[in-house]
Amino acid sequence: MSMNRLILSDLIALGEDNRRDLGSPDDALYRDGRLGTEARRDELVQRRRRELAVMPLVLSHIFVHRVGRAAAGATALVLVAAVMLATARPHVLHVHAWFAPSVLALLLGTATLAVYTVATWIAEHVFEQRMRAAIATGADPHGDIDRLAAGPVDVALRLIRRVDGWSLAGTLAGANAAALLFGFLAFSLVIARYPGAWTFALNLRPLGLALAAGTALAALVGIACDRELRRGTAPWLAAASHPVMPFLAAGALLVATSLGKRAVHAAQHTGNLPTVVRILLGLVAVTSVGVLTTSVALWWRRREYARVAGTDTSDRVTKPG
Amino acid sequence: MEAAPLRFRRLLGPVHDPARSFARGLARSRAEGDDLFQEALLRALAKLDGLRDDAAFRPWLFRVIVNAHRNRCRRAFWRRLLPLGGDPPAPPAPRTDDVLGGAERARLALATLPSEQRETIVLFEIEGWQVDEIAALHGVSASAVKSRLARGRARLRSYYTRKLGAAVPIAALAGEHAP
Repeated sequence: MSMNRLILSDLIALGEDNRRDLGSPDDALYRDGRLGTEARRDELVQRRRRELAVMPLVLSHIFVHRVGRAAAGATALVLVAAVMLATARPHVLHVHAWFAPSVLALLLGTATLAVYTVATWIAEHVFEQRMRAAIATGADPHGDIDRLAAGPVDVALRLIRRVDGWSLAGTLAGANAAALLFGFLAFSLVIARYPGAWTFALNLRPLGLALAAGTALAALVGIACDRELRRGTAPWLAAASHPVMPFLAAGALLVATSLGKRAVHAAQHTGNLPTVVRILLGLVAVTSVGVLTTSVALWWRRREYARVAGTDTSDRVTKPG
Repeated sequence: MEAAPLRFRRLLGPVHDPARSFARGLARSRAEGDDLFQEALLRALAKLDGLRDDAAFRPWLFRVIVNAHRNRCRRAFWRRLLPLGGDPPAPPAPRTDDVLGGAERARLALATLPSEQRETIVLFEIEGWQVDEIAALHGVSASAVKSRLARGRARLRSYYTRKLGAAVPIAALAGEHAP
């Protein structure tokens, strides 16, 4: 009997509880489905968390190294420009040891590697933060659902695409600048047999122009690659990524080196080499080097996108041609 | 001719409170009950053209709620058999208030009943319906309703005995001797 009374009192309490805060018919008809929204949000968050847990590491790897290459390339460009400008100061010219290729290579290499390491470390943290934000929820479930429409893989791909142009431009600018500096040193010291520092001072203008041309070429490639996903591949970019191009560029570089050597030897008998010839030689050399590095960089980029497309995210990736 | 939403709004007004309370009584929680009520309202609005007599709106709406509830029970059954992944929902937090504690206890006990018995118990014991009204709603005989009530009460007793045993809350029994 006591149990029956307890059941009855509990049912009465349940009835009272059910009749609390019933709201109005309008409230029922146009009820904000907050609980339903929260349930959808929670389900979506779970799905995104699973997506993040099984997300291929290649995505973060590509992003991090793209950032690292961009930063390292920019550092190399700045350092090469600094070395060239330093030759304009007479007191620097007396410190010949600074212009020995091995010392320069050591300095440039160490600085570039240090920047690369720091940049990749920062990029890793940025990537991690973005991934955390991609599965974070707030007080507004509707906003959360909108934000969670793009999962961690989409966010990662967006990050990779965003640094695409910068990565190529930075890498190419740094590679072109380093190739120009060490190419010139090798040419003047080994082939033409001139002391490095003084030839720097004499060829500052042609070298500066060649450096600017190499940087402009890198910037053009970077912009074209950045626009590629939106506007399609530019014809000249497609030509630059043709497998024959590295061989053509290497041939052009050899021809430029040979012509330069002949011109320098001829100038030893007739006087100084005319400035126009120096500039022309510098531009031909930097163009050849630029095409060579561009071909390699574009090949590497295709390889990266192939790795991304090789994951289960292939349906989301527009693979550049 | 009156538009369906306006007609629905007019008909819903007088029966809103008992219908919503009934939906809450069937569900495992107030929030789930509100969801059930919302779902039933959507179905009712979609099928309102089939209702010719406005006077029959009340039992008709309750039948829609009952059907929506049974569909939910079926879905829950298949979900239990075919897990589709995802974490199970978190258990409701225990409530300390005496009255709500009793309500929660009743909710948990009702959840163990088959849907037909649960509906009958809720309508008879909580909503105060008569046996013949319930019989008309379910489309069964009055004796079938009485049978469901008896079996439902027996199950509730069994649940309470199993869960509480001899430890019936003193506060609940104190009312037994009150004048």
